[in-house]
Amino acid sequence: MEQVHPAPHDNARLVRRLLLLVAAAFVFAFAMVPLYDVLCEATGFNGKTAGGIIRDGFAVGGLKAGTAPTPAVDLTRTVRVEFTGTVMPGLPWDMRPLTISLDLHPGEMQQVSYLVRNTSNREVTGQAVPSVTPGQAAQHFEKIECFCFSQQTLGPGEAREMPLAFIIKPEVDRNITHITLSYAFFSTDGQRETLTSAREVR
Amino acid sequence: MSSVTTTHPVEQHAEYHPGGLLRWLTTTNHKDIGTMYMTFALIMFFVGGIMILAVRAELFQPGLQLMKPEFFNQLIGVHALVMIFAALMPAATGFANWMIPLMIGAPDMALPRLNNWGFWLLPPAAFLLTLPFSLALLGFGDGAIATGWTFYAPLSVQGGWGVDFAILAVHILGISSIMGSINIIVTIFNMRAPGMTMMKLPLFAWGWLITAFLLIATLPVLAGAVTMLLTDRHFGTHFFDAAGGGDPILFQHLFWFFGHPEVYILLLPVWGLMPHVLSTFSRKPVYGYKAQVYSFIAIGILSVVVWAHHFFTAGMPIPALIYFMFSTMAISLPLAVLFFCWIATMWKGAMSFETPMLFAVGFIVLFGIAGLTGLILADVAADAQYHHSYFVVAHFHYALFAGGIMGVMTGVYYWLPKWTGHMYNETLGKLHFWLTVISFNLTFIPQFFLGLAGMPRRIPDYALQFAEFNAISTIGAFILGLSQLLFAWNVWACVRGGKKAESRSWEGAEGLEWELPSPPPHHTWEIQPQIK
Amino acid sequence: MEQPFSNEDLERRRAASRRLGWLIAAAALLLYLAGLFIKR
Ligand code: HEM
Ligand SMILES: [Cu+2]
Repeated sequence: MEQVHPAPHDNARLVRRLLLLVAAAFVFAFAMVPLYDVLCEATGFNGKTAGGIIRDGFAVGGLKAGTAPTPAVDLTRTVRVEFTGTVMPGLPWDMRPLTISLDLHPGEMQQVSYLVRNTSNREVTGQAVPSVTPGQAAQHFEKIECFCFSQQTLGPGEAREMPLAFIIKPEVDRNITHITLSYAFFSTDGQRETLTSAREVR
Repeated sequence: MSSVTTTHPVEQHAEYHPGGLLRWLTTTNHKDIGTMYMTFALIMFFVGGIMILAVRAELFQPGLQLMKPEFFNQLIGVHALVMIFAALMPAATGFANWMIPLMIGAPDMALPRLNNWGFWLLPPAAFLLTLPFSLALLGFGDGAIATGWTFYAPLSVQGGWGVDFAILAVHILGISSIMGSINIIVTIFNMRAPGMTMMKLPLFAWGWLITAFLLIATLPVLAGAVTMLLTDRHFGTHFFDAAGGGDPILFQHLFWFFGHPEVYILLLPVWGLMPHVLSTFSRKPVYGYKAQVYSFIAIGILSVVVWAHHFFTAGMPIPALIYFMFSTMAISLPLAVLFFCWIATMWKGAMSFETPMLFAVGFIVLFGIAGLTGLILADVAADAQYHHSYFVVAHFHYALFAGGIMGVMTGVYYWLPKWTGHMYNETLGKLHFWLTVISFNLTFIPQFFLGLAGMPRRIPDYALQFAEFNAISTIGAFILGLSQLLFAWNVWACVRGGKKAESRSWEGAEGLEWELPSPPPHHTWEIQPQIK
Repeated sequence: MEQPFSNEDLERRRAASRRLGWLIAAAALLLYLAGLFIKR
């Protein structure tokens, strides 16, 4: 067999390029965070609704606030909207929708409210996060006014009716006849802290 | 490459060769490092195995007998992390270290010192991953990570410090894998023997090349995701916290952007070594070399665009569901090309069934079941029922045990004579194969039925109707686990002695590695062969 | 290698793997055709 001595190669250059690839992949992971929000906003992926606020630099439930245009009302069909809500662990609250469900025409503005009660004997602040099912309807679900636009603080034992005004835009797909709006109420203390305090309470 | 070079010119080195432990700590020799990777993988294979036998013991009967649910949750998660990151991946890297330089005619890996660091990061990482178990025994903390291997938020944001240990361990394991990948790519690109064009590269090296690129492209994404998890846990960020504007589903996207390519990372080295074994024992050249190379590349590319099939049920717009369904199913096309090439390599061959060939044929049949059940899961409508059930568990064990572990064993039996210079005990090898295949199916076929009937995975208790199949599965698992002791014994005995292996240990074997004596001297191919 | 196979043995093995190949192909085809007739 013919044999030859190994030829020297510039390994360092290839290593540098590969390291660049590693760095790019790492940056990509973080780039996914804002990209993902934009994507969800555009597609209604994940039930993120149109209309919302910017809080602490993070978008809650969407990027732009609802503007309340007056779109034409589509009287040819009705959509049933159902309301529900959950209080996440660590928040000593109760919540229930005062209207369970509602039939409406796309384009007409409606107002409903939730009854929220602080069951503890201290002042607590919470933040509601909305989600719409099916996801395809989310981008046409426009909230004009919502208790989820800002943090809510309830005193010891306090109960409050929290209002919500919204429009289902007439562009919503004709195949969609039922829409569910669901809120998750979180404690603003953050997940880890609330869980620890929830353990204490138990 | 017609002549057999039994006496290879070994250059004399004035190198410093410390003995004992120091030799292994400081070695930069690709064969030593390969041996260390394989040994580490074998040890961790048993560590992970013991964990899951405890789980199977708990699942032997309905009700809670042996452990608390919290501990059960820790065992399943750490079992998976150990098997994937500390057993299968290091085993594949061990093969790469031992075989790629021998097969491409290179004197060593391109970056020998990096190679040493890459290995020595592994033991501390494995130690960190399992340390919380011991700490909990001593009364500190509440044990290891209990989220399953997927780290899903918000559970992982809320978990105990086992999560922090696991995040740290995954970071270290990831750095080690990236170092190994860079080394392998540089070796393959820069150190091939003269005349070895990319289209003459052995398929094993091709499989590893694609794996290495996938690791470099996706492991940093996992590192990014667990870093966000860490800052969510300790520094008040809200990446995955809905109350703060984050989104737990984002974690699933990031995790599976890594996680799905990971399953191909685990298998590409095995797909690479399979044709070598099949061709050897069929005494025929590999069928469809080019088709296999192109399939590797196609699978590598497709694997990064299908990730969301792991959470169809998390809620997605219908167009996204359809896209991820069809792209996932598309992967089975290049995979089918590979199956065809494997079978065509055997067809009309003078086949003989030594242990490596038995494992190779067993691999083809059982891995085929993994692919077919994968297609069922890729169907959005069907997956709504099967997701998070034991059907998924059975599917990926056909892929990762029958595909991954049995594939690794194929390679170990095939190259063991080359590594040790001795033939292993063939009777024991065959016994190991048959015990493995039978008990593997005894363990996992019942899990398909359990999944179809609706038994959820990752739950320590189950309804009475599932009792019989679970009992069978547990019995199978214990036979399977014990059978692997035969493997460890056979390897150990082969290292210690046995019938002398020739340089071409198998009659039909082709390739540069068989031109070298068995075992090869410490330094090989310092004068490279010229490939025609 | 333990005992290199004799030429006749190798020839016999080649014939066997060819036959088995056809047999498996036939079985696969049959299964496929059977599938065409399964209606729900
Ligand atoms: C044609 C090939 C394949 C297809 C179509 C496929 C499809 C799928 C799908 C749709 C799932 C998600 C099931 C669910 O959670 O509901 C899944 C899970 C899984 N697959 Fe595959 N698969 C294939 C091959 C493989 C291979 C080759 C491997 C490994 C080497 C593998 C490993 C896994 C693992 C580990 C999981 C479960 C991960 C977890 O949830 O913990 N699959 N597969
Ligand atoms: Cu996947």
